[in-house]
Amino acid sequence: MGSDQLIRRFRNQLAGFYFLRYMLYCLAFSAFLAGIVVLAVRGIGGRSLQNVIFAIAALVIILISILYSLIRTFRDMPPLDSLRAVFDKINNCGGLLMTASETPLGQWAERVSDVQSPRLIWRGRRLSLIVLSAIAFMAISFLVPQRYIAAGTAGRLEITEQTEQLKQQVEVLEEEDILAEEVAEDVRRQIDLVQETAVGRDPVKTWEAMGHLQDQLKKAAEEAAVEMLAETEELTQAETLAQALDQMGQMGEEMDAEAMAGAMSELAKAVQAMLEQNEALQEALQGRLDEAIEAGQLSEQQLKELMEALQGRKLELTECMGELCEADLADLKYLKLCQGKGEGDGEGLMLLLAGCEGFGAGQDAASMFIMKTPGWGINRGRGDAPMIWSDPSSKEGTAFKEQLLPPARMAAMKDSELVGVSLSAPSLEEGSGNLDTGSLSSGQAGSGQAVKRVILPKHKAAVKGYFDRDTEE
Amino acid sequence: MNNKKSFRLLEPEQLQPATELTEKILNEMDAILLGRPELHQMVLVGLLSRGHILLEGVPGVGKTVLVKVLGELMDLDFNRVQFTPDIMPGDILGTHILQEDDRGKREMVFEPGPIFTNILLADEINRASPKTQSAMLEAMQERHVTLMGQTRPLPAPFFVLASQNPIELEGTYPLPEAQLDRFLFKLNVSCADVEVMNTIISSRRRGEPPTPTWTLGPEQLTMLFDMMDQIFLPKPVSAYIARLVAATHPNTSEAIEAFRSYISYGASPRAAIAIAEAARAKALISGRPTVGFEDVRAVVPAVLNHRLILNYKARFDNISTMTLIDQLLESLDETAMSMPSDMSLGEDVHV
Repeated sequence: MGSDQLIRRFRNQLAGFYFLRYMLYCLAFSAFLAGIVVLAVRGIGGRSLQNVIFAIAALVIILISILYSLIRTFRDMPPLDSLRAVFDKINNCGGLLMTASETPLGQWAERVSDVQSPRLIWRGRRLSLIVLSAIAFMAISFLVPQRYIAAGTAGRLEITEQTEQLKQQVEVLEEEDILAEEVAEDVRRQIDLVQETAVGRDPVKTWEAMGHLQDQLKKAAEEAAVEMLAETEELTQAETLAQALDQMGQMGEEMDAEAMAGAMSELAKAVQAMLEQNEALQEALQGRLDEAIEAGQLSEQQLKELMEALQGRKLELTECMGELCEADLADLKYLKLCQGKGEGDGEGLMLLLAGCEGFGAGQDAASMFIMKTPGWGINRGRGDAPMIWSDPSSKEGTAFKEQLLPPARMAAMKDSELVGVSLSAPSLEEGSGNLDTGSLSSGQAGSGQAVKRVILPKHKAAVKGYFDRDTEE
Repeated sequence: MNNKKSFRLLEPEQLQPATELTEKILNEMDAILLGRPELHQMVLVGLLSRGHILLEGVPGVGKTVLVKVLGELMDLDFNRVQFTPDIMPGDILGTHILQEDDRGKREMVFEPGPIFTNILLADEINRASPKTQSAMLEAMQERHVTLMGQTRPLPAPFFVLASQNPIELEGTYPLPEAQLDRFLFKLNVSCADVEVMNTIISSRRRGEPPTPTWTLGPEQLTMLFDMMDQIFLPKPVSAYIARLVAATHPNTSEAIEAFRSYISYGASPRAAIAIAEAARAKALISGRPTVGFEDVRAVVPAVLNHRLILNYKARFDNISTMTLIDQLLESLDETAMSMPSDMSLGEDVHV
């Protein structure tokens, strides 16, 4: 074999080694990359890889590796002149082999006809270790059980949707003036804190915190809903009374003027009481009826104006209740109750007042109506109606909704005493003596009174009526 | 000149007479001057390269004898100048003397100095004043002498073989680097070993060397110079020479770490030319029509050892020029074949 052929053959061998070397590097890199990708995909999704996609990706990587190796091989291959110089040096040709590429050697060609290839040394131990490590890593990434990967990647707990809902609820409560601005801001900070500290390792803690915040918001909303119901009831009573008086006024001489005056003064008192506590109603009336209310005499026009203001306020309350229900802060039953309380029995009241004679009778009838709304609680008729004790309402078939009290109230409940069952949901007044200081604390010394029972306003008319009847009899 | 396709390589039968002639010269020198075959070969390489040689060694090691024998062997004119501090340029180059001819007419006649010869032995050149050194070194470079506006060429061939004593520095004028660069080689002449000295004592009474049995004629020398011109320098070898010289400069990318630390100034392009020419002569002596890497490696120490200027750090660390040259030859790959770090070529071959 001629020296040129030998050099070219050696160059091809060298190119093969170069290609193999670069391919091994690519293989190692690809295997490491594939291992990382597999771990990442399994860690994020926890799903098994699609075989087809993985096969296509592997094919692409192999093609890229081959292309890269070819490019690098052609780029890094030593030129023929360098190889010729190497052959010349190794075979001690004294420059003859190098000269062969530049000028004919003539008779000297025989001297270089028997050249030998140099020995190629490849210290591939390090590369082999890298390749084996990469393949082992890739195999491990496929074979490692999913639970270990999930344990390693279970970092964040995704609660964005829930926190957004809570923030919307806070916004609704803030818009409806149920939560003060600073309180709302504080709740928002707490929500953010919960979201930041939400980790997959301990989801119970996060859910507990979220539940606590949700309870706080719902409680605030529910308290507001109860207050709105009560206000709606009061507004309805006043509106119904005003409506009855308006209709009675239209009837003219058929009605007792004294009784109407008594009912009118009772309406004025009720409106006066509402105005003192209800800023919204004050804004609606803007003091236009102050003098008439103080005098206890409202003209027909003033009654209509009053009715419009009361209706407007009721509408506002209903809309507010609707917002709370839409934000999942209040139960729909409150909305229905609110709408139910907005309807009064004006004609019934008018009939009741029509039967009254004298200022006091009219005042009492109106007062009794305002204290007790028809359709609420136990209705046993007017105050002068006979009281029937033989047919109390039955508890049968009545289901009470169980409600879990907050821990602080649970502690207070230990020392509590059952004093009765209210008709509506019990409400806790701030600074209540019974809960905070015990049942005996409010009793007077030496009076023998152990428990002070608060008679709710709604019962006052019935009790008064009972005693009035005894007096008349 | 010769790196072309049209260049015809010397055929073996053309080269053989020249190779035999150089072999004969070397054999004769080895027979007359005992125990220094490498030095003789380098001197012959220097002469074939038409370069001047600076011989450095302590007194009595045979520097002058070597040059004298060379002059006798080559049948060339030989002059010797013993340099002293008071020697003047005119004493070397020649001077004009007022002479009267037969008709009684007086005219200035040029009386050539000892430089007008083929081989000039400039003994203890570092004892001459810088003025005289400069006058002679200029003639060495230009190969002619200009006096009184008239240029006179020096005889061809013209070689200067200068000697200097490295130990006696008092009263000397060390040659500046620029002038040292004019010398092709600086050869160190060391003391002969015991066996050689014993042979000299027993065979050479009063130390007189025998006269040559054969002399080289001018035609033969011209033939050798012609052959020199036809020695082919392959491109990879010339590239290697260029990289070698570039690597001696501490600020180049080719420079090795030792050169960066210990060298102030590297070799000049004249050094590269000198290496190429000397390598050709070495190839001719070896009987090859082409220059190989081994020829370059053989002549590099002699060419570079007086052209590298060491810095103070090298002097403090007791680093010699030869040590650095050895490191350079060791570290620079002749073939410039860059391979990946984990791959290499063995020095041996597959059998």
